[in-house]
Amino acid sequence: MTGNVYRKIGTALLTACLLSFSVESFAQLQLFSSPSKNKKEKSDEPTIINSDAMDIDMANDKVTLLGNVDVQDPEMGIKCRKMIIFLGKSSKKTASTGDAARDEQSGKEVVRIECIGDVVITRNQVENANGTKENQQAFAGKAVYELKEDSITLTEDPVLVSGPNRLRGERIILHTKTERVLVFKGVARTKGKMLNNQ
Amino acid sequence: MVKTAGKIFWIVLLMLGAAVHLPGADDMTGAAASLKHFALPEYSRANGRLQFILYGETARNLGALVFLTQPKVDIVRNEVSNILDIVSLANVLPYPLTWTQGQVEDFWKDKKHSQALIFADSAEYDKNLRMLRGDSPVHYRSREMSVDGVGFDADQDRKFVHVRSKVRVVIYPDARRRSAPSAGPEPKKDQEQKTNQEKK
Repeated sequence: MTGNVYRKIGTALLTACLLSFSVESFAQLQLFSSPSKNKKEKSDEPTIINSDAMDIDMANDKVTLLGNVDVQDPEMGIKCRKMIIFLGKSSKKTASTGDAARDEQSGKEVVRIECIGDVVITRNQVENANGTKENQQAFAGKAVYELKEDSITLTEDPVLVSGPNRLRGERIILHTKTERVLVFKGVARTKGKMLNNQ
Repeated sequence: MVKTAGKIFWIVLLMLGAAVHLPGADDMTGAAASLKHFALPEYSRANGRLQFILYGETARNLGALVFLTQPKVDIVRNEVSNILDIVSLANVLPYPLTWTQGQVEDFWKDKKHSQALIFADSAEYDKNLRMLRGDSPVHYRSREMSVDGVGFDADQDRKFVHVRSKVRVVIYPDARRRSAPSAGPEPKKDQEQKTNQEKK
């Protein structure tokens, strides 16, 4: 009886340790965090998307890209089979240009992006803690990027890869600004060691 | 015998009448009409609101189909309530995808009524289905994004555009940045917008 209780406590402690380790270790990966170099300059670049076909639904403020979708964004690159971009009325305006006519024409904003099918999100050549550069990638069946919350939710067998580190989970939520990573039912593999928080 | 001759007379007369009247009928209905450098406003069947203005170099009408060269669709914003806000965009050309955010803003500065513009080399407009289709390269331009592609189908009533192939999209930084939590000042309440549209 006592042994059983100790075993349960031991399992709980181990799970907690593994969970905290896996989340912490991947928080240090800085996946999808903004690189230190010239952030402002990068944010001034447009996002370029190539795809096979496209639907523009102006009545519902929705844009759907179909087939071989390839996004080149200042922050990251995304590849998937289908992408749905949800636009919304601008809830806030950018800094005034001083031009009344221009300021009056507030456009729409991207509020949510859904990537469906064979999703690959890439951050190329990000400097890690050791000062060396490495590729960072996320793979998933589906990814939902909520721009207002600044979070990317990966589902359908998601995997995060950064150099030798690898993290799997049932669901992974990346907070791009705060560099916080939430893993649900995760398995981490880092430098040959395997950690499991299931 | 006399009866047969009478029947033949009436048949010949009817045929002559048809031969004389058919070309006239074409002219009356505009079935064979062609236009040059035209602007054709289209209104909603439901509320009579101006939906878009179709510009083009030539239009050739064959039954329910209108064959167009250099068509240009100016999609009018829902918020437009004053007909005087609408300016002619007949001479506007699509700007390149390489334009910067500032250049795009300057382009749209004097086009407040317009939500988006669609340009193509050629297209056909189906008056019954209220659909515009084309196989040629197509260019979609709006404040938020620009699209180039090949072939398109545009549904007037649904405000829906399908670009068939070779799609290249540019989303401008402003559309992306507005959503970012740290971007810009606090939100302002939208001004109440009038939706009453002047009917033709």
